[in-house]
Amino acid sequence: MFARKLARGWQDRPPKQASETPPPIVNTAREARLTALLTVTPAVTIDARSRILAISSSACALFRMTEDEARGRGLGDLVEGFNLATISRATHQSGQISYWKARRSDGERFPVSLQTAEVVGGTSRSEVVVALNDLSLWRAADLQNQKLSEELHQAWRQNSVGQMAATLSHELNQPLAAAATYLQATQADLSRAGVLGDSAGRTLELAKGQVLRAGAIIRRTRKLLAAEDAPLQPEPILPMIQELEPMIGLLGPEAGTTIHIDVEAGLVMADRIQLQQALANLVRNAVEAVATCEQRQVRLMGRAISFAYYELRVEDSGAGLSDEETRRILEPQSSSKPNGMGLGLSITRRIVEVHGGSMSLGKSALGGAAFAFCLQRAPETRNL
Amino acid sequence: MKTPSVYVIDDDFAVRDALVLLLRSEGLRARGFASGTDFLSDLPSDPVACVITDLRMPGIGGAELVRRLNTLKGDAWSIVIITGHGDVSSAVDLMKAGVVDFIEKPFEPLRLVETVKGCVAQLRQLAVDLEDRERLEQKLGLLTTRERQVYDGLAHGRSNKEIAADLEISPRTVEVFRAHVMTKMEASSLSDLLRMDLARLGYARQLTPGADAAA
Repeated sequence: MFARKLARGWQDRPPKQASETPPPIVNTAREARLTALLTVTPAVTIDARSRILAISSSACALFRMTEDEARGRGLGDLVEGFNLATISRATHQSGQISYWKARRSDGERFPVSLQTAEVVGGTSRSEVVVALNDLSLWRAADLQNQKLSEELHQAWRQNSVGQMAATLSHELNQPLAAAATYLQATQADLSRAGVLGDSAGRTLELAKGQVLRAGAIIRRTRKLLAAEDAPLQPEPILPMIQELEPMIGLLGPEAGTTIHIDVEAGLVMADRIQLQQALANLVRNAVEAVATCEQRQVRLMGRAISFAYYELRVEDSGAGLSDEETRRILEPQSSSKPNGMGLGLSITRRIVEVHGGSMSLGKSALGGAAFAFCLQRAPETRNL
Repeated sequence: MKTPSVYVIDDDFAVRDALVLLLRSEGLRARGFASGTDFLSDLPSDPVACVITDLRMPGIGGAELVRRLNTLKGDAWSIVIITGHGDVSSAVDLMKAGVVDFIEKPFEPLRLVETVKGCVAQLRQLAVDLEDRERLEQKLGLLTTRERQVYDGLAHGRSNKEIAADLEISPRTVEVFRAHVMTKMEASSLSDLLRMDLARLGYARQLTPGADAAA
């Protein structure tokens, strides 16, 4: 029914100028709606040989051509590889979506999705209506999201490796230092006792040398694996947060958690990727912290707190941190005890320090923990 | 007088133990502490000392310990940092704060021993100076008001006549007081007295013996 009206509506229209679209002749309210529908839905009608019989104004816009330019052309010219013969009746009936690559009149290629439907009755020849969807914008956003995701993952991996290397080397340096010192003490003792003479002294010196050599190897390896700290640049806060939104948007619903973002505009000195990592990590931790709670709320907040500083906070409605945990997270990492914080938080802390801030822990109004740190504000030049 | 002690602060038992062992075998007095907190709560009262400390320790870290020791002991206690971390930026800050040396673990033990021995030698001299200064202050405490006034005049290079005019007494009186001052201060000559006074004010090393100030 719909398709018939569609076909008739187009064929009844008087020929137009190439550049203007005169208002359609409206017979009924139904046709008025159909016309409106066609304005927003790119669609073409094709014959059995895939030749374009009619094209809606929005499809014209999509392909950047006029009706006259489109009519009579094979749809396969515009949608690469399109051939009606290859599409079965079953596909028409099911309304299945297929994906193709299309070409605009200026040659620009873009991804497009199609749905087809046979025009039943009302026409002597067989006609098919093809509804199109320009996927280019969606694709661009998706690629951007993927790219950011990859960048973050890579930076995270690099940081993790760097952090682990730093911890490991720090741990190893202790027994090596002790060993070299014990060896030296033995040399001193032996030389005083005068008992074993040159040979033993030489061997001890060799042993000491090897121990120090191990230390040098560790130093070198750590330098290789350490993530380079990029210099801080002035970065506007809002775009950085906005880039994270898709990721955050996935985290929340999956865990049944509401993540509320309340961030004021501002210009700060930051390493964009590192800062995003730190924020993503804090938000992830917060989501984890509320996973088993009745109230599952996480808040990411940002505002300038003074002339010089902009504060970012992540708060949750979880169980909060005990005094012991708070103390352990904030104290300088000890050399002999294992890292009580977990790799993620220690990397985040390091990123915060590189930005010139320090992490502070507190209780949130939501009932759980609040993690906060400050960034230096960049001087803003007046614009707009 | 006692040779200055070396205090080793490191939360790693083996590093601490090995260092104390080595320092003692090199003829130094050494004692270990497991943390900055332990050290500060049991702080030795030595006038001079050498402290070897790590940076990353539970409780009060090395950087904070340096700050506190600087406040409490000033230049009289020398500090050497040994660290397993190799944080260059903190090295610069700490050197600026007056730390004697910043050594990464694992270190060549001889280097640390040499550094420490150098510190101890300087500290020994400093201890002597400090004792001298104290003795001087004690002697000064024994002077009467007038005698002190004459002493101050002499220390400022005033002549007997000038001092007499300043204090509105006769030059003859000044001479009497001057003799008392010399005896009580145990000074053999005026230049001796001036040297003592400069030492008291902390300029001991800049004066060479025999320099004479105008009488």
